[in-house]
Amino acid sequence: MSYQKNALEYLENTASLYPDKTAFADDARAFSFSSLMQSAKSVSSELIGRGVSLRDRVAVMIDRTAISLVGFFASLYAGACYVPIDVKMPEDRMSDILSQISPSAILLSRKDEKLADYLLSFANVIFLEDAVGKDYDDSILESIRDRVLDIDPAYMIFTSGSTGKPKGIPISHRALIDFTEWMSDYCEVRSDDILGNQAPFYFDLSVKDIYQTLKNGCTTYILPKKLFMFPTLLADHLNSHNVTALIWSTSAFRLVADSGIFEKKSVPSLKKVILGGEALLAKHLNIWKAAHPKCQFINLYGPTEVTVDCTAYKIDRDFADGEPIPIGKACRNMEVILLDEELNPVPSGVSGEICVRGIGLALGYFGDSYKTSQSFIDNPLNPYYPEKLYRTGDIAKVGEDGNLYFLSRRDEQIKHMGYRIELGEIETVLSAVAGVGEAVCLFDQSDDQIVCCAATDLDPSEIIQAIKSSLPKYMIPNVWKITSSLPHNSNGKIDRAKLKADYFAEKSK
Amino acid sequence: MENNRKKLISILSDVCPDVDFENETALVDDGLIESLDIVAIVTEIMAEFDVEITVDDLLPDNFNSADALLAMIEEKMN
Repeated sequence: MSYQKNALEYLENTASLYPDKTAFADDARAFSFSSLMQSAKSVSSELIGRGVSLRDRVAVMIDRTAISLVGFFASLYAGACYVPIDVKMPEDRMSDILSQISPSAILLSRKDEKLADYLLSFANVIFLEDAVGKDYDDSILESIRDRVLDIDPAYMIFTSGSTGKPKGIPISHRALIDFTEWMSDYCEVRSDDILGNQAPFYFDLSVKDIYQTLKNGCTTYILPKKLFMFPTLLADHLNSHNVTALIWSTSAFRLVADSGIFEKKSVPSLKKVILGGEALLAKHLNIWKAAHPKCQFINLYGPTEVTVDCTAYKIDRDFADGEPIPIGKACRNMEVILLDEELNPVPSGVSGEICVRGIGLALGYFGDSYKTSQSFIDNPLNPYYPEKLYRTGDIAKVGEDGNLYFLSRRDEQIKHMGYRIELGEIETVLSAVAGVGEAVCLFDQSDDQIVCCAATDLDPSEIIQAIKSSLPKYMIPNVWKITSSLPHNSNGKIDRAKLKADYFAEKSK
Repeated sequence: MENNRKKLISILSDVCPDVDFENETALVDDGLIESLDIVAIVTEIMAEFDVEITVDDLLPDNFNSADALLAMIEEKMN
């Protein structure tokens, strides 16, 4: 087997093996592997003509359409790193990300052309539809690919940052290839698999749909977002496409389980359901399993900084409702070490912070060497040569069965609606609103709600109006506790513990 | 009937304070409400109006406007 060093080789291989097979389809448009490759090459030629060069960043403004993927692979053909950005993102947040990455070009769909004037202040804007079909020179693209190293970034995903600014996490071709190879083997993805994509392309969960499709020659249907509100339509849609595999966030999985749809109908073609993003509860798993007894369920765990996932568990036994489900063991070519606060390994059965070493580690935080040094530390267990260890901030323990069990976070990061959110980022935006004295956010995990306690005279609707240009909808608090002042502890800091205790005491009345 | 409408608008506004439920008629089609909003809305409606909303009722036509929702609720109440 030849040594692969560029993620594009997946596309080239499947385009040669299955040129006319559908690779990605949305409601309006489908791309075969061959048309996807040719479209990406055309757009890359336009990018190169506009001055995009090796290791530059290309912002790809995306929604749930297949043409967004043309933008991703066009960026890679140009030797650049793609940065997916949700077209519906609030403008202040979008400006922040674009300023951070200084893109050499921005790819946009004609459908969203109203954004073009605004985006032009950051970089050249190229319309995907206009560039598709243009001539390209294969020899130029090949020479560029030869000069891309496998440690160069392939993509960069932005996640919530505790100081109020989203942070960019660049992932190398090497890490992406390594993860894709492992996942394909472990999850037994095959060319006849048909995937139902749920995760938006600015969310790293979608990396699994995209690259499993490219590596194995599967077909991915991009499920319209609306279907997740209407479970009957969702089940009908999955059945009409004979979907065999779902790679979904646990929150979408839960939503469908709770809807009661599986009392009415199931998806008989389903062979595997691969979950990740937040803790999986046995009660939801059991609802799905009862309707799909022959389906393999797989629980994956990992933050974006380790290239999607670093541990995995194939559900191989029954779990009673309420019983914790393990996150399994480290993926191939990754090691997970549990460390205490002094960075010493903890004994088996004792809780510790999940720290990860291996090829899958991200290149760091984009443009932020301080934050990078805080999270990507020198491995304290290897005094012989420099080696990086990523501190996830997640606390886990090894159970008697030898599997890892997720327990909690060591900071104020939460998982809500499948998104990773720093409560500090919401608080920073809230405290900048005129008329808001102090604001603290809590997370009510049982109801999956962000609770905002604020000292202000404003109504929640006025605060929401003020913050919605800075925060996406999933970061807007769901419950508001407005008071004239917040409690403080003896250090003068807001007493979060008291606020939390008061909230849950009131709720349980 | 008018009371039911007021009560419904109040429930909807609690879930999505920045949406104009009095006038919007394409809540689903225009993406003004999302999946978790629907979960919250259904839970509140069932509690406040004492009606049963099943998976068969979860269809876009029932959720595109406050009036469509109200029609569904009142049909169940009768």
